[in-house]
This record gives sequence, structure tokens and C-alpha cells, in this order.
Amino acid sequence: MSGRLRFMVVLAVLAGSATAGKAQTGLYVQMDMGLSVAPPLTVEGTDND
Amino acid sequence: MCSLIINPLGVDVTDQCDDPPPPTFWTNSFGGTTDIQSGLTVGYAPGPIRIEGEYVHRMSSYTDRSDIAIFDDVTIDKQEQEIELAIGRVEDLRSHHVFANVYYDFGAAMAKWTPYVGAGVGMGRSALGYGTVWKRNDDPARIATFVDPTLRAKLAGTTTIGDARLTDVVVGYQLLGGLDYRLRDPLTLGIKIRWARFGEFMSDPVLWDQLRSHESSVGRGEAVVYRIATDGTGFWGVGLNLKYWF
Repeated sequence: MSGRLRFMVVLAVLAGSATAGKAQTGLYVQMDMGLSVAPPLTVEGTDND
Repeated sequence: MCSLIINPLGVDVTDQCDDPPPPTFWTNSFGGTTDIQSGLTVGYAPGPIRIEGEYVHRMSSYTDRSDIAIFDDVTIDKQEQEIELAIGRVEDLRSHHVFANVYYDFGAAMAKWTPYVGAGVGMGRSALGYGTVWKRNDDPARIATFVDPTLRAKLAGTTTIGDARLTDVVVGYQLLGGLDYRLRDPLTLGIKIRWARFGEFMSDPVLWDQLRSHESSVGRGEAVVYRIATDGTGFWGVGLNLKYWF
């Protein structure tokens, strides 16, 4: 297989992978789980003593 | 000095108690933290523009304590003689957020990989577990707030303690970006990064659990209350998500 033909085959496989399946439109539900990074916290207090 | 509970006869007092004293003002600083966030989303994608309603729960556990920095002159003076210990502690910040988000999905509609960017606005109910302890010197001789030795002794060793879960509703916005991968219909696995920013947290006024070891009052008919604020809260988030398409 020539280099150019091999390149075309690889390109076609990648293109097929990238466009497989049907369009994702419509309604969906989603669950998330992850990490949150909170910055340093400064707390200000006051009273009427 | 102006408390009628500690000093009912007004000993050592001239005219400085004729007007209400200036408010006490202090701050505590705590380091950042990394914790778990979770969420649930319902969305609709008619095309590359996608809209969704999102619920996010997160809890930031600080669990450290810090010395109190005092900024009003009256209390700064007391810190140099009367107050032996003044510390604050944040246990955690728990938040329930709801957002309305809009996304733009890049690439072909049929693509297996879908990068996206988005933005959202929302609000959250935050609960800050905050505690503070102010302890006065056990040795009356080190207290200079009063000249009278009986009043010094009355003040010695007393504590002011506040420990409560303080709440507020905050408004904010977030910027989002991520990448979805179509596992197999109807499931999509994705990674999402967010940067969220919220407005100032300001608690409702709360009574001290103890004020100089007695009830939260100075005996003038008005309760002594404290409130806590932060200069805005925000967070970075990164997470995995699983979509089910109908």
C-alpha cells in the first residue's frame, strides 16, 4: 500500500469515528460528580457590643 | 465598660457611654480547600445551541481556625490587655445552587466528540458553619479596661462565644467548557470545567451564645447581635458527567 493510500485509509477511519452515531439533539438528563476548588476565604464579622 | 450587666453602677465611666459604642469589626482568613461537588441537570438541545437547568451541591470543608484580626480602636485597645485569646473557625461552607445555562456545541451534529462552551446565571443557598471564641485574661491585674479592682475581677476569665450555622442566598454566574464523548446511544460521557462566582455572603444577625459569660445583652434593652460576611465566594470545578438522551 502506497504512503498516500495508507494516509487516505487512516483519514477515512478517523472521519468515520468522528461522525459515527446519530445526531445528539433533544431532551437529556445528566449526572455530574467531580471536584471543586474553593479559594482562600476571608470572613468579616461585626457586632453592636 | 458600658455594659450595665458588668458595670451596673457606671463605675469608671464618664460620658463615653452616652452614645452607642462603635461596632466591633474583625476578620478571619482561611486557606483554600478542595472538595467533592455533585449535580443533576435537565437540558434540551434543538441544535448546536443547548439550554439546561442545573442543580449543584458542594461542600467546602475548611476545618481550620485562625487568629482574629481586629480593626476598631476600642477592641484593639482591649486586645492589648483584656483579651487573652480571640480566634475564629470555619467548619464548612455548604451550598445548594441552581443555574440556567446556555451552551454552544462545536463540530458536526453527528460527531462522536463534542467540545462545548457555555455560561450560566443562578443563585444558591449557602450555609457557613462559623464559630468564634474571645477569652479575657484570667488575671484581673492584667485588665486595664477598668480601674476598679472589683470590676476587673468580674471581667476576668469571661468568654464571648458564637457558634452557629449562618445562611444567606447568593446570586452568581458561571463560565463552562467541556468535552462530550458519545459512548453508545443514548449515553454520552463528558468532562466539564466550570468557574463560578457569587456575590457577597451576609448572614442574618445572630445572638452570641455567651457575651462575657452572660446572655447576649449589655442590659440596655437591646440584644447584642453579630453577623458575618464574606467578600464573595466562588470556586473552580472539574467533573465527569453522564448524559442520557431521550
